[in-house]
Amino acid sequence: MKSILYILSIFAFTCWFTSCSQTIKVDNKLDTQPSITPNYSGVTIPPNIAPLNFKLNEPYQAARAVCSYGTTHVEVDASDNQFYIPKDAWKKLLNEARGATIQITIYTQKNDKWTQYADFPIHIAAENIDSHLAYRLIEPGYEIWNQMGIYQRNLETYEQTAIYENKLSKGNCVNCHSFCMQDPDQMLFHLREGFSGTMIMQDGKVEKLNTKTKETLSSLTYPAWHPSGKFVAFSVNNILQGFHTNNLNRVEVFDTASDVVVYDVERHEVVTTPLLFGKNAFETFPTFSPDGKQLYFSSASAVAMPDSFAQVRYNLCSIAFDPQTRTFGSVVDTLFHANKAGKSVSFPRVSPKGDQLMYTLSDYGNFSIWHREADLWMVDLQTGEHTNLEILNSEEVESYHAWSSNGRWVVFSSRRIDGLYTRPYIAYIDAKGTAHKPFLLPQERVDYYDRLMKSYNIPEFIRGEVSTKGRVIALKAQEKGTDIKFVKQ
Amino acid sequence: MIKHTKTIIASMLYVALALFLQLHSAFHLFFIEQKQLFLFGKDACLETVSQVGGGAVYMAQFLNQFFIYPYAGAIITATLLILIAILMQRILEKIAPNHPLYLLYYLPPLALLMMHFSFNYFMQGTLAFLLMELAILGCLKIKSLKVRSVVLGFTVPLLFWVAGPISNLFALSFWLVALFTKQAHAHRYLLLVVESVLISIASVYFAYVGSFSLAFLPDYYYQLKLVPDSILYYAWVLFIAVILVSYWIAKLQPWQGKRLLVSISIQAVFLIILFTKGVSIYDDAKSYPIKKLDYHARMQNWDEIQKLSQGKLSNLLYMNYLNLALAEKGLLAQKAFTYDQRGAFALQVKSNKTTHVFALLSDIYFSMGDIYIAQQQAFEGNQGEEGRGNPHLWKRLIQTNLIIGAYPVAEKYITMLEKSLYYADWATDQRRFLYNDKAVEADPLLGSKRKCLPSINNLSKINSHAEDLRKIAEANPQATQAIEYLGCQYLFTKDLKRFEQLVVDYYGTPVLPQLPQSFQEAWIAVNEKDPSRCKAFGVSPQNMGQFKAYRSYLIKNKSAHNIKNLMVQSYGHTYWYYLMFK
Repeated sequence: MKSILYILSIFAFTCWFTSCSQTIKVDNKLDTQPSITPNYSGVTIPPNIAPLNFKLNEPYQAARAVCSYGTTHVEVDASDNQFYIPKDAWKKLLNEARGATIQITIYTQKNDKWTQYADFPIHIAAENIDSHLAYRLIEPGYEIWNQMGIYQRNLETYEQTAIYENKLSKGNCVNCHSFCMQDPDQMLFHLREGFSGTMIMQDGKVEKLNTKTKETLSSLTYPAWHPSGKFVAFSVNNILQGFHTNNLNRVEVFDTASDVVVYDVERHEVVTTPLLFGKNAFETFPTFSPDGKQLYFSSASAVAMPDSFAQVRYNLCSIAFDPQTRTFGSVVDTLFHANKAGKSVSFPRVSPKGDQLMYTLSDYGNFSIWHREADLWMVDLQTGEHTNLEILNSEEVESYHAWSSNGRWVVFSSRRIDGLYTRPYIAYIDAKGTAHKPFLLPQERVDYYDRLMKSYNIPEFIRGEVSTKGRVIALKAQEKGTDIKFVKQ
Repeated sequence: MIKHTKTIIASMLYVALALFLQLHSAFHLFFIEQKQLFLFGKDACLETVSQVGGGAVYMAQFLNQFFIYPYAGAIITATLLILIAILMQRILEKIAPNHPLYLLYYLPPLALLMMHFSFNYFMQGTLAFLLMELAILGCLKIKSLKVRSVVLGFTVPLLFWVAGPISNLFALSFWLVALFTKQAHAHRYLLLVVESVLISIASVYFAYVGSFSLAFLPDYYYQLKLVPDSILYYAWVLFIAVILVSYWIAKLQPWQGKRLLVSISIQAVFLIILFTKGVSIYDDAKSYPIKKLDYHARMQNWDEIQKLSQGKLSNLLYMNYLNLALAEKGLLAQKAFTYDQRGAFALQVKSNKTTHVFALLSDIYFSMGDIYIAQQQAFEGNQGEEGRGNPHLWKRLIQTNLIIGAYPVAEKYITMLEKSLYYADWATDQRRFLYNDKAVEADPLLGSKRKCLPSINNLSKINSHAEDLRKIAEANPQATQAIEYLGCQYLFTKDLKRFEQLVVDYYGTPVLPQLPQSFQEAWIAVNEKDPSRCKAFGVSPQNMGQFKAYRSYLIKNKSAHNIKNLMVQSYGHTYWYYLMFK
């Protein structure tokens, strides 16, 4: 035992000694910032985020990054072609700099001479972000898949664990995960092509639902929980896809018909209104307001598909919903006539305070994840003012998005890195509703995204870890499940 | 003497097996190579070995990459199987040292060999078997009971992590071997079985492994979505069985002299019978010609495919390869009917959603110049493959992304493929096209395919694929594949009305400056009563003359009961024959 302690103390001393950084004598000072990957310059980050490791986009003999706030400095020497920022020092630095800005200074050594670049800032927000992010990892494919799963990533570390992987159910398809108000204990997702059904988890109880009824077009599809946890709005869609002959969007996913319904979790019943369930319109992507009294959705006039695939445009609509009586309002409000502007709205998402609604705007259709022109927009629900969130957008796709529980953060999927593989970006939305420069979800290894051949699908914040074990879900999935009923109102 | 005999027999069998595999299964082994992609580098290694059974997967993928080289697949497979037999021999010799049990040594590897004929079996199953035998022998070598117990305690979880559920077989067989070789406190090794069972259960409970069958059985070494044939279990069952049998035999009188000779002879005969019977049952002979064609298509050995396609063709896939080869040589419309053809699917089969068919269809669409669909098929095919995908399809994805100008994606795939052994140089060579439209356009292949992109985008097959092919042909008239495939599609389906319209629309234009042989024959058939129209569309007098002769011969023999046979001899290579008799 003594000898082990002796060896450990020698090792600790050696580590301490060797980690003491050498002083750098700067030979050249530049007034330009270094080019880095990911580009974290000027981003706003939460104080509880994992270290933003990055690399320099240029060759060097040696390099050092110094992250400073006031008198606190974190010095990191490049190793393995990137900067690994020590977790504890980073955490301390961010806590001190909460609501302020840290500066990053980069030094590189080339031909035995050291160059100092102009500092670049990283703003630290005052508000934390939810501790976890849930997403599906799947290849950006079309009809065939192999290994896939829904995962949760601890945003304060780099740890990723599986919520459910399809290896637990013979490699079937798992999709459309959704949480009730970022609650990890209230979740659902679908299983398709084997053990088919909707798995719904509430406070440790797992239920399997068979959601196809003879009245509805399809099984329940795109979900959105009612804030009470007692209802889930779903679209029901006849979905098809076609492939472009010369367009970098590659594939067009479209509905030939769709409706919106609300599922009553306790009674296993589906209710709707003719205003959401007609043949004259394609309704999809429902979402509730945080008070649960309004149901927002995208809606387009029904057209012949696929011939008119480039002419179908979805407006942003809403209808009142009374959770006590399970009844809907008598009028559909159109908040944004996107079709008149030659545009199409998808994925409306209301902020937790209910004052803003973020949506994706594309040229046509609803499956904006395959539309390079798709961008994120925000509408102020009080004033009705629409804002292009330019600072979040790029030349490539920006599409799916979700709010954090405190409404200060949004996560959105973007294909800006390579035009195909979706990556999660996180942005700060300040009290005025202004979006700040987003940052790519940090990974311990900077080249992680280069190597990853899967897309991040449906990124959703959750306030903690999903505790229901995959095996428990898999066992339930093997059961017959509960049939749901369509109830006419 | 016996020792030498064993070595000689093992060496002879090794050579025989390697030769057999090379002569009998060379193209199967080339085909297997496409099923797993090995990448060098720390990240790829960690990614693989961090999974249950990942160590064996990593080793299997490493070995698999050499299968692209001639003879390597046969040598590697034979080496693994003979090593398994030799280690089996070492284990059984500890139980029955005085009885040379050749049959028993070779039974488990023989069962494994049968699995190697299935492309749904993963080589990691064989490597796991080898690792298990090494673990048994290694642990038996440890003399100290305490040290052995500790090592064994660690070996079970380690083996499970490195090689998968084989740890269960290890635990059970080690206990038996320990019992039969009268190791001290051998009964205690039953705890190993308990340990391995608990580990397997835990692996399922904590979702490291998907199901109990995967955690306990060799199912782990087979395609997840498929139900394995019972042969998958034989090697495991036989391994336990031979241990039990050898224990029983050990009690018999030692074999010497004549008795030894007789026993060896009987075992040899049995082994040969089992081998022959096994090969006849489990060898996937049906798919072998496809594997051959697949290899030649990947290597662009178009002449070879033409040679293999002589005579009667019994499978639409054969015809697809043949027509692809003809199209690539610019001879599809010229020579299609000089081969055995049957219906529209002879040009393009319906997808059965297997990687192999996706790959073939991707090649066909690529040949047609339908780049986006070629890419889609390649992507889908890659999804169907376990592990890191299919190298041929990765290459196709790189090419198609370069063609459409999706350079960052192409770069991502190039970077990945550069970490492979065989495909690295090709991948690096593609870098010259990245973000360089001029280089792409100047390249004979990529440039020509880029020209095929239609000027107006649409959804593919929104009306019919014919429309897409027309647009491709119009976009790049120099690439004749699109128009030839389209014309042949009409001819194969005997849709002469649409064929006529196609010729009317394009004859004399850069898309169809002249009619190839089969088009001329079809045109004559369309305009049988209007020879002037044949002349106007450039039909040669020879073809006109031959049609006359064909007609006369047909009329002359019209009442013959074997008219089809009569006609095939002289006119089997013509479209007229196809039109009337197929």
